Amino acid sequence: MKVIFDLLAASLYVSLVQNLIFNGGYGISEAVRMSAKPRKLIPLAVFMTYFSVTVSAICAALELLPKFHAKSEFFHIAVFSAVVFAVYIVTMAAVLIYGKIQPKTIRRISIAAFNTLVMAVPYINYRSAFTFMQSIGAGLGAGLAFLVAVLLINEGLKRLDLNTSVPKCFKGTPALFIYTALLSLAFMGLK
Amino acid sequence: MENFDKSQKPKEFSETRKIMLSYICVLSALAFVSVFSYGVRALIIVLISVVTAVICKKICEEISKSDYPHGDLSGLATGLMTALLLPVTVPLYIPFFMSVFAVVICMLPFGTAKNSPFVPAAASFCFAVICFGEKVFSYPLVSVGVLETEKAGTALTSLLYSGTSIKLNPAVVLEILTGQVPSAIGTGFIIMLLGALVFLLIRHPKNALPSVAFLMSSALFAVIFPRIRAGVLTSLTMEMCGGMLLFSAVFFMSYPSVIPSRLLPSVIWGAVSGIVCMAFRHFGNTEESLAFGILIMNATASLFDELPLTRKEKKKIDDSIPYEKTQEQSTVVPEEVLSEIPDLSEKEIIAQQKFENEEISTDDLHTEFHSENEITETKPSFTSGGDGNE
Amino acid sequence: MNENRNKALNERIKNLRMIRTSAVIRNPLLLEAVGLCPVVAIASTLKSAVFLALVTALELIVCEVIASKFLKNVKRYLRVPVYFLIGTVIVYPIMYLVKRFVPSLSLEFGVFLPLMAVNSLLALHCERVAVKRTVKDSFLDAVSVAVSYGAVTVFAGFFREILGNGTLGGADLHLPVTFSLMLTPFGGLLVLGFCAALLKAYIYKKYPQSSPDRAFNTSEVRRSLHGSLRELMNDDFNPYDEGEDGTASNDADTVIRYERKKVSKPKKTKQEKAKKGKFKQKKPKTETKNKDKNKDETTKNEKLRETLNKIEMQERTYLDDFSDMLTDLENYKQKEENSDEKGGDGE
Repeated sequence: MKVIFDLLAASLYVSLVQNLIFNGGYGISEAVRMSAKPRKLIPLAVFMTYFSVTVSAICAALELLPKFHAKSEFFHIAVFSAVVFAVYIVTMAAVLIYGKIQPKTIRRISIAAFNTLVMAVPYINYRSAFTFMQSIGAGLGAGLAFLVAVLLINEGLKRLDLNTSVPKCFKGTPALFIYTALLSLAFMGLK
Repeated sequence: MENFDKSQKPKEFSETRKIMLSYICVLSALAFVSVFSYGVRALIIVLISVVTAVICKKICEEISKSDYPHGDLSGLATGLMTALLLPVTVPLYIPFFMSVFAVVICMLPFGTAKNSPFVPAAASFCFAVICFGEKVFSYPLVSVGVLETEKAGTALTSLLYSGTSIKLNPAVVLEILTGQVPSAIGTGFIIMLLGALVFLLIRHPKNALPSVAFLMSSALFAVIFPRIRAGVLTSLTMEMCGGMLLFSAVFFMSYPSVIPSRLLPSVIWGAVSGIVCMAFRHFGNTEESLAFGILIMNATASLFDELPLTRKEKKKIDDSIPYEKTQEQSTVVPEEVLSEIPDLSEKEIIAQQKFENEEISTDDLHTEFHSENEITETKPSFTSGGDGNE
Repeated sequence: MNENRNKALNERIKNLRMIRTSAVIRNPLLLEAVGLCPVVAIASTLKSAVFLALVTALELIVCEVIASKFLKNVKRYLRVPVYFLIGTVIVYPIMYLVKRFVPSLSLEFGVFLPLMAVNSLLALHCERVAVKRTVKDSFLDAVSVAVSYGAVTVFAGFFREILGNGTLGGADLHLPVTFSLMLTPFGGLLVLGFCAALLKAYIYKKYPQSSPDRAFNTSEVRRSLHGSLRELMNDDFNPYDEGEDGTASNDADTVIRYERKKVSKPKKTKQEKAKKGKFKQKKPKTETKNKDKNKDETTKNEKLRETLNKIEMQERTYLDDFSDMLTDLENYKQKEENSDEKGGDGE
């Protein structure tokens, strides 16, 4: 029971209380760009969740080794990057060999793997000294945070798209950035 | 809107102006009572906020060169709302910056007041809370109508935040209802705010219903999850009368640009907003984090419009579509026209039969019938010099 | 000799156009919303903004040159991790040196220092430009993008430090009021929003024929959210709006072009068949039934015939106009392709 509670608490913390995208700025570029392509959002969020959970789990498992835990921060960071790279290669190989999927889809998986949000999760877990289950929860929370962020920004973008009274200079990214800034302000209430 | 004729003001402009006028009437009454209670300083704060908001709005309208008609009174209403959220002891630069924030950041980039996705006054309050912290929550003591600015009072929200309750008796309730407890300039006069709600319900029922739903769900939340252990009634009184909950219900939940366009979704949205705002109050990092919840719910308002239509709404839509009777003469086809219609090929006959049996879609039928011309849609190819005439 | 001079001039014009497009009209940070994370999160002081700009410039130039030189024939799905590796190789030594010699900066950057290796700007420009162009063009593109990105970053850092801390480069400016909110992602996004508005106003004034709105494609915004995994697998997915067939694309517009497919057997259209009168004349069943109708109905039929004939005539003219438009488009496209081959186009 405690295990599930830890997992849920960590994921809720990362996705809502300390939303990685709005409060931290991680993956905000991907969130803003994907908000303009909502049809591809949910599958992309699934891939990002997969990568963040897998990488978090592997890095948290490595942290349990005393020799690894005692190493410097620089060593940790290098290993985390290597883990992301390795997970991507293994996933890509599995998809190419077993899945009936076109090779060009692999670049979509690369977007989900190599972004600041997925890369930040193991670093945050390490700095916050999360347990194994909390790390997995943080990985889940990162995917959920991305989904929530893109949904909210997409709603705003739809409103801005329909709004004919936006000044000419603010049409497009200027108004969108300010909208996202106000969303970020809203999420600071729980920080 | 580019070739908009300013002399013909659109319907949404007059609707916005109407509701802003109602807000101004109520807010002016609140401001007058606050000046009476808190003295000249309250008047100065209100004037700074209002003048700044109106001037900023004017400048923004000139900069944006909008074709939309000016004078929807949103600047004036925003200035009044911003001022009434602050305590009387607040430094004078804070209402100035709040008004600038509300107009320049929450209104200018989005065009008109009808289209701003967030309530400007709520956003400016959040800005002030983050930037100026304690200054926004330092209330003076009010005792028997006398303002003692040198003594710090403890607001109901502060007591709730620290888990302290009050002893509820008729005298205390009367003090709470008449604004005798430490609070912001315009949020303490509970009777006046309730009167404002009734006024809005009569004049703008569609806008005020979410406010009622908001209050009901907040009250339910306060009863089920009390922050203090002094009984249901005390918790309910402190939560509903403390802070800016009632003020938000009256002015923020009825703001025209943020509520869903349909009635039932707007009521549901109001109810959900109440729960979310109370959750922010419980788990927020300041004694009054309700405004942050308001901003979140402003962002999700359009999601509620996507709820399925009710039977009544469907019927209304069906009734609004003009019904065209099929004429008998449609069966009478002239010979000259008929003579030019070629016989259908075997392929086309099969396709038509499949379409009638719903085995293929209209697009497939279209491609079968127009396969002779073979006009196809190619995948997008980007030009290498895509800047206009370059 | 004239040809050589023209070639050089065309080359120069092409390079200038590319620089202008990459840096101004398709500004990656302000108009395409790429590479936002470091600017929003880290560039809250002038020092950190300058550092970020320099590191990003180095990464971009090295990455694009390497991609242009060596990665053209590498599979797409292997290129992206290579960009990440290049970013890591550049950033990690810098990170080590910063930690050792400037620990205050390292503390300020925190987690974001190693994250600079996955800047989405690298992947975008390498995929869009570097692997499709020469080394020289890629270098020019990298430099122009780096300069524009750096300029915006430094401006954002400058502004945020003054308003957020009341300092500039560490020196206290003794401002009466500061806004700590400017040091958060809110402040970064706000500054970028207003910078983007200013840039757009400048582009509309200076280059009125260009359309900066096309840098951020919002044509799919109102589509449904319910995409399935299969759609993601099999549908075309262009997160960076690159060209489909290897052409460098700075234009984010999706222009649908209609082309006539080449048909092996020339088939006669319905209009041609009708003109030659090769169809059987059908006797309408309703007419045989209505032989005994009165005069009112016959006049009604005549009126209907007239209107139907008018509609048909209109349709025929529309079809003729449409086919003329198609041939014009084809000719225009041919001309464009010919002019591209001659090297006359800037992008």
